[in-house]
Amino acid sequence: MSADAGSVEEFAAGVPRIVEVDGVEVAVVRWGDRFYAFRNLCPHNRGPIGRWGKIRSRLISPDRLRLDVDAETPVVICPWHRWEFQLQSGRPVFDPAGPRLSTFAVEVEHGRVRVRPKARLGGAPAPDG
Amino acid sequence: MTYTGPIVDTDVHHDWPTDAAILPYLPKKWRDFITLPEGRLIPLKPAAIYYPTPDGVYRMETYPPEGKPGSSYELMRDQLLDPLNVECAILGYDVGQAAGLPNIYLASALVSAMNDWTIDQWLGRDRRLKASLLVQTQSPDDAVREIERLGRHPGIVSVLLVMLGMSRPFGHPAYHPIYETAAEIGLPVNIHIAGTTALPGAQSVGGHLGNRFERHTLHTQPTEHHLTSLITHGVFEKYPALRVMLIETGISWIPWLLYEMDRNVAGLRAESPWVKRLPSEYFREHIRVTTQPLDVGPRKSDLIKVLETFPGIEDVLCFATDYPHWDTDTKEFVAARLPEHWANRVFYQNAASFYQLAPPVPASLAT
Repeated sequence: MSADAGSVEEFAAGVPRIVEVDGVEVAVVRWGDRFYAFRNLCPHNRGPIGRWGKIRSRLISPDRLRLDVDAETPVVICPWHRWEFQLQSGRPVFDPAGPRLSTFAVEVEHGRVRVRPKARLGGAPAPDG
Repeated sequence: MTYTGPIVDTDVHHDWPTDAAILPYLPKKWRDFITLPEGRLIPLKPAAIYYPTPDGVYRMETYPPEGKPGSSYELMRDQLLDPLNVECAILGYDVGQAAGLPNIYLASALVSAMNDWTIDQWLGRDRRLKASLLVQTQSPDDAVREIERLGRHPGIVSVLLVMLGMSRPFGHPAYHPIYETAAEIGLPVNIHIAGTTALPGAQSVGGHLGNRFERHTLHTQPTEHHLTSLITHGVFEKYPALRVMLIETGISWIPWLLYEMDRNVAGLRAESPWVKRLPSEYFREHIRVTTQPLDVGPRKSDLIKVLETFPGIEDVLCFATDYPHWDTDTKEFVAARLPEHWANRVFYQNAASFYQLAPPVPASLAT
């Protein structure tokens, strides 16, 4: 059974809404015309990444003198230690092989945003501590 | 490992909502001095542009509806004091750069205003809040006067050195009057990083720091220098009652530095004849070090292996969160990375003894 996160109109761009899915806090966010969902728990140090994290485009540096944004790749920045994770995959931006942020499938039905209950992709359990 | 006992948080940064909060505590001369013709105040902290970072330097959830992180007691209580079972939080400004202003007279007036503001606005709010007394170090005479003025206040538990006032590390004899006065009153001295690296033209031993990545990584450097300076200048022989807390530079450097000093003392003692004992002995007796930011190796066990090469280090370390700063350590993070039988000492006992705190209030009597 998927969890209802609200109507499409209730989502301001880049502002996460928290919904409980099977006892787990999940952040749901709209970025462009897509919705993403991820666990409100940073796999680095258990920071409240969904409730307080910042959503933005991934920063890239094509060369030494240019800092640019990759608008196609939204990321969430942890409010504590600034680790970044791709919203699509949960992979860490700096070390893609590192611990991933748990992500969830999102579907939009009849104007409602719903989160499927099982974590996917990232899905790596948060290490203790 | 989990730890549920009492905690002394040795590094908490309180702040004022806006610079205007300090104005009533300044003499009129200086109020007028820092008020621009259009009514705006000259900012009391160095511009963040010197070592910028796109997401700032605070935990993002610590911003109150109005004002700056660390300025809301209620938020500090709800995010730190209550959930972590903090028995005592040592307040230390954010982080007190005013003490290093080039104009030493303004610096002295400002630190006095800040200390008065802290006593007035914070210490009466919660029995768990204690504070370090900020002093400027360009003019140790002024620092001595400030310690004598407020150092006996029951809520003041240490003297705080942040800024490097005379471009000499803190063992230099010019600073000794500060230690003499602190030791006489029975106050320990906190040395918090950032004083040597927060301002334009900041230096490491290698030269100018080029960005925040360099600066943040090398925070340990000035701490190592201050500690070495304190020992080689014989500060602890001169003031046997003096105790010093080194704040916010991690801990894995401790074995290496003390190995080096112990190795060098026999061959180099000719220029420091007042060093009578092994530096590591002074260290164990007089120095405590806060854990944050806790060093992390590829495996949790790596740090313990390093620390256990310096026997007795479990009596030196004191837990700190660095609230509300971004590179915070949580209780769980630290508890999971240190031996379980160290926990009571690291989270509570070492700091409680160092700051001579009263025993914890039983939960049934706490209000």
